Amino acid sequence: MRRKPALLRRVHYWLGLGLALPLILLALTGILLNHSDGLKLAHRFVNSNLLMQWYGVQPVAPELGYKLGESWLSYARNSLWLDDTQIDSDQAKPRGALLVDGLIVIAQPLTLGLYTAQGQRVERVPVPQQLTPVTGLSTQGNHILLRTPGGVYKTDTNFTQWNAVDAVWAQPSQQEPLPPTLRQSIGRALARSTISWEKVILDLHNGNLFGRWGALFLDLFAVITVALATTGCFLWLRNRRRQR
Amino acid sequence: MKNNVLKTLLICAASLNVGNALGEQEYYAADTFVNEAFDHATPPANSLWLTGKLGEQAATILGHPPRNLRERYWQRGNRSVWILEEVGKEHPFTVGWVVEDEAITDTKVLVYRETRGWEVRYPAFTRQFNGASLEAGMELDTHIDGISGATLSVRVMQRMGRLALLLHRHVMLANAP
Repeated sequence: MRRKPALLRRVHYWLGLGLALPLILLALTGILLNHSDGLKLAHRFVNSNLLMQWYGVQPVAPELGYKLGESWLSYARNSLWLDDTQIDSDQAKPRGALLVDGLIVIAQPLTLGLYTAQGQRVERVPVPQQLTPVTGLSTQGNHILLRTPGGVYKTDTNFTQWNAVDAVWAQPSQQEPLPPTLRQSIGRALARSTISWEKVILDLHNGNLFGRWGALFLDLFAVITVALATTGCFLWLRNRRRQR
Repeated sequence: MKNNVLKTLLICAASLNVGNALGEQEYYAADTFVNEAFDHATPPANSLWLTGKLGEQAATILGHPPRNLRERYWQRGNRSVWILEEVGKEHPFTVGWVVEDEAITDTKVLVYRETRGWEVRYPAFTRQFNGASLEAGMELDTHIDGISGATLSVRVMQRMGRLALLLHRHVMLANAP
């Protein structure tokens, strides 16, 4: 007759079986997180409606923008958008934007951003420290006018000379309401670039993807892992004694 | 008098707000860095277009096409100053480079926007670039010790250093008689 395994051994078996799947998940997500930089997971975004709903991501679009010829420049979530395309990230909020000689000039508190009409960045010109923060942008002939706390300054087309002028602050660049269809497209594009794979994998790894219950579930697995190690040690010691 | 004090306070508050608007930390103003590099007699700025072969070489160093189509620089004699910006892990940071006679003579992290890796701003780290120049294969001829926890920022600093040397060399060759 076959002997029934002892209780401790049975507990050890079942704990091991129960832990297999979560341990595989932890190992795989851990490996991915270890190589997150190489895999550029922080820069790859989830494009799943289900996950976006799960995270409660709502399409939120800017309401105002600068009309530049046929295009619109707007600002959302620290990024600059030309129509429905993100052209730059990690940017301060524009204080004005103009199309000058086919070049988009964007005034920001500490810099002037220059972009081609297609949105390719030409350069960011640092505004001299004593003129910051820039609060407005306008033009006078071929010159750019900047409104600063110290008055109005004029700069040449190379942005190398900054001269105070007594010019009347007229026709500054101002925002207008964005067309509704454009707002919707920007909203959708913003939603698609909200959740990175790094976040999803990290949340899966630490259980946060399933909220408080996910974390508690992982706590339970941690306790089971300790129990598995303990029962394993006991079994090993017992077998050793028997063999002697 | 009261109004002037209030105005000054408001301007100071606005300036502080601007600096922190993106969680960025400005350690050094770009124009101050340039002024000091030329002993407060700053030459006019020039621009260098990163197109054609130079653009390709810059892309090889950076591992991606340059973010800017052109770079602004200041030059007198054999000395040039470059303000370069590159993304570390998620956010760009800004570094000033002084190059003279084919070698880096000064480096300062001007703006740092990442939450980790800011140790690269310490002079103990940036001093390692002093004297570095480009060898064959557009690599630095000097070993740069890494910083634990700032691996990406260190790599980006090395790339920016190589780019500053490449751009300096290009400008010097273009100005050679």
